[in-house]
Amino acid sequence: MNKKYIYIVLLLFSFRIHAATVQKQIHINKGYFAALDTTYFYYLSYNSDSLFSQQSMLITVMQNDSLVLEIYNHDTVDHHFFIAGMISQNITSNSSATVRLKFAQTGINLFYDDIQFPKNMYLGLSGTIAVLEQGRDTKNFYWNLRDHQKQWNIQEGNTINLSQYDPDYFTINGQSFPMVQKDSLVKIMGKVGDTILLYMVNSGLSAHSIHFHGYHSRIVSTTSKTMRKNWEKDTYPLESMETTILELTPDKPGIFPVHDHNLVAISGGGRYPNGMLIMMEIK
Amino acid sequence: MKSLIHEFQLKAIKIMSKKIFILYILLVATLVGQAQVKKNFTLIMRTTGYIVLYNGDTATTFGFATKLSQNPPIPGPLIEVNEGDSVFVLAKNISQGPPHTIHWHGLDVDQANDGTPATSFELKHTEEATYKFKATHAGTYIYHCHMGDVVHVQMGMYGLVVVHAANAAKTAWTGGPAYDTEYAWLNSEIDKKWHDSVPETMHDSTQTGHESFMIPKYNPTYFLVNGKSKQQIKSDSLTYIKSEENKTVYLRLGNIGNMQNRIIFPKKLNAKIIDSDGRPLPAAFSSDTVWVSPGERYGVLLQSAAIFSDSIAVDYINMNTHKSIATEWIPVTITKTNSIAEINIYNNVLQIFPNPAKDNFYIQFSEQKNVKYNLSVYNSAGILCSSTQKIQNGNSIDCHHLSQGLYYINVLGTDGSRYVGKIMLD
Repeated sequence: MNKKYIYIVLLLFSFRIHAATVQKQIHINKGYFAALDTTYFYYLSYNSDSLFSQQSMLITVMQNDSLVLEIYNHDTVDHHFFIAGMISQNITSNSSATVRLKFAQTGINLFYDDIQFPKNMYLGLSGTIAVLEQGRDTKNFYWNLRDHQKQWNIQEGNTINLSQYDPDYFTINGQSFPMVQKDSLVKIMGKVGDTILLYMVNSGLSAHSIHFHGYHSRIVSTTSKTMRKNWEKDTYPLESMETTILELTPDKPGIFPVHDHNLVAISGGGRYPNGMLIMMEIK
Repeated sequence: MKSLIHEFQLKAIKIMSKKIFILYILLVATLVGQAQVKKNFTLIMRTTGYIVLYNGDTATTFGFATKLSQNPPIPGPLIEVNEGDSVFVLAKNISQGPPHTIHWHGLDVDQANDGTPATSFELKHTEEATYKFKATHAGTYIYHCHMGDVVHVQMGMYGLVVVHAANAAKTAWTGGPAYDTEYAWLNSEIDKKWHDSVPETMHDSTQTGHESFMIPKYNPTYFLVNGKSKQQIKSDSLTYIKSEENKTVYLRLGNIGNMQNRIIFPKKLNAKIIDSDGRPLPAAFSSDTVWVSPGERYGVLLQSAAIFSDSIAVDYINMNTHKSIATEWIPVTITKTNSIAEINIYNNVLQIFPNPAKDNFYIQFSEQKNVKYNLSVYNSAGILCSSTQKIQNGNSIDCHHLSQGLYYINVLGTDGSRYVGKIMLD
């Protein structure tokens, strides 16, 4: 009798290992981005509820999981939910849509609104779905890089002139240094010998060049220059729309910065230090 | 019988002793051979330097010097070591300004020597300390100040660290591909507005250096390769690539600016990208274009079977608009093996290059003298083909009207000095 129960539990567990259905809500909200220098500007965001947050949205699933998304559009205009090569779903204003996705491959997916591309993505409508490997013991961190030019966002409906783009705010998951350090998905923490995975997307319009002090990491995957797979580097350029996964196995303890080496991007509204910088802690 | 055994025992002990002694000698020799090599350097942190730009304009700079009397060069002094060396860099802050540090970019040093102000040590005015690390991987690295780095780096506080293969082998890394000559380029930009409006706090030794400060918009107008641009590059033997047919050049590329660099090689150079950020690539690949983003480094092998003169383009790409805003052209000349070397006479007093030349060549004196020169070009039959009066250091000599062949050059100075040499015209 006991054995029968054990078999049933194992059977159920094995189903979980191979596939599960994950249900999430995404809310398209309109609001104002608050920079550390008390500057506010118009912003759009994918959030997990109807309350506006400038923090970018992350969904994690396991490989082979099915994902059911209820997407609510609280804006007065239509928006899209778009993943390149996977889905393009219109969500009309003040209504919702259901999206079903299945992820056979591990990796990171950038979802965004491709209406008036890249305007709506630039205004904040981007997020990430990380597909994790079953049973792998890793410490995972997730960065969504963005840049903003205040004068473009100062009010709804401003036009964006890409040829004169000159951003003055730089964020990771919607926050900049030092506030971003409070985001446990961003601040890299671990210990010597850990396998640390950093999932990065660049949904900004600028290219960024992320430099690690203290360590080299291996490029697990990248979408822009795929030949870089398995390169070991300390500086990782990310073009706009690029996603990449880095694997770091720290060999020594220490507190080390990780930052954009376009050093202007370590500022916010002209004030240094701010922007794309965190202090990584390895024990 | 006993004495015979005893005799054998003694002989055995003697043989064993000899063997042990030889083993001991071998062991000592091995240990000595493996002893760590220590390399010592001194870098003086300064904030009162200047750079002369290609158009004669000057900009105030910060930088690293090896002597107090030296205007800190841009880039800073090259630090060259071999893989496995223990490196000691004595840093002295004699700047009359706030603290400075040195970050060893890419060398993966420990936290104490990392040069990050908040987590490592910093040097106030008149303080000095030694950075210590081991050069574990051959490759190309950068050092720069990390205190207020957005300004201190822009002002010129950076240089290259080249870690050669173990025992200074002429290979890209220990056991890696061999090369004949090597060059190292560190690219950057200058926005003169930043240099003209350095915050007052950057010259105030009472400041902690940890205060936040405002920076202006970044709009560089000078684009540097090894601290030089435009015609300055043509007379810079550390940048101008000269090689011979079928010889291999190992070119190290680094970017410490805030723009992306797109480097485009003439196809005849058969560029092959072999390493990045101090690590060999899993698979080297051929490409005539290399992108180097801020903070990145690349190693490129160049080899040509052709004899030619051309230029390598270094584009500076705005990371926000993705447009190229400037291009520097770096000359490259590939000559015949064992052909005439460039004229290097009288202890390198005079250089004439490129050699062979095509449409023009340059005359360069190692010392700046207020002397003018008359230059005459004779063909191999001794007939005067060209004469140029009152030339000065760095002048270009037009030779496009001369046919291919070997020519003799006679340079006569108004101070009575005279130099002769040969040049091949293609």
